[in-house]
Amino acid sequence: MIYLKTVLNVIDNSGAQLAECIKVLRHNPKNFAKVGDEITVVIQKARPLTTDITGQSANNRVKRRDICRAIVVRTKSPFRRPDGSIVRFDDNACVLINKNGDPLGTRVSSVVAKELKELQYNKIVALAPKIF
Amino acid sequence: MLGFARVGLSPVRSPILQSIRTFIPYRKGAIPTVYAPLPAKRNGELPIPYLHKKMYETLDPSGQRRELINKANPECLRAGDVIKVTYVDRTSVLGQIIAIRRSNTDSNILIRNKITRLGCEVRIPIFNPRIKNIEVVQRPKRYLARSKHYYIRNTRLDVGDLEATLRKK
Repeated sequence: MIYLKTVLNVIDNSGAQLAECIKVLRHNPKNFAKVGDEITVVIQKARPLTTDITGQSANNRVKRRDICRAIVVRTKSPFRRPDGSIVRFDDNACVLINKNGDPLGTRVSSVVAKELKELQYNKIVALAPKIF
Repeated sequence: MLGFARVGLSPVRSPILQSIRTFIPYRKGAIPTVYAPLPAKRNGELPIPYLHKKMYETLDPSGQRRELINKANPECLRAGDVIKVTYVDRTSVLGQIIAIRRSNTDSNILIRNKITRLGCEVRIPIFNPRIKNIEVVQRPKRYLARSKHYYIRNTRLDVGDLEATLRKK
């Protein structure tokens, strides 16, 4: 259940650590984002930019107060799968994306939900170390 | 008026007595047909237990899954056991049991594991026909108190990375 003001962990190497949801996209106003939904976030906390970061990850670095698009990859609220099992993670987490839907970072640090695979977020799934 | 009627001085009957008279059963015409009672459905078994029995017959014909959560069985699953659930499509889920909800064919098991240092929980209905096998991987030396271990979340009693600890062994 991700809606306005929800603070999420950012689990990629774009530099952001915490992000606050400011808009759930393509949902009606009373609805909330679940795993696989796209949201707009404000970066609340970011790692400091250092000179030894090079390559693609340096270009896509985000700062505090930046506004980005993100995909919800884990929710603390339990959700149901079609086979009747109910899944719950210990935190709310997202991965930042650009306008084309590709992830900003080049790595995803922890587990993501299996639903992303069915929703065709193949790049995020490929970067994730584990799928649950 | 009653006294008057009893004495029978007048041929006109009192209205109260008349109304009592009309109350006496009085049948005209043929006697209605009475049928024999229908045979009892399901040999007199109650509908809900019968329904559960039928569902067990289709979902768990061997009775193996029922034995897993049967408290009378000494080998039954308990909160604290580490289990591995294997599906028909060969995917599997490993985790420590936190709770078992016993409710006929709706029964499910809540299992918890830490993957990349993050707690992941899944509640699995055990009579799901897509489940191939439920295997006990490890049992604790000493069980914790209570049958529902919700209180272990994010404490020092919490589960570790079970895959890593099992690999070490």
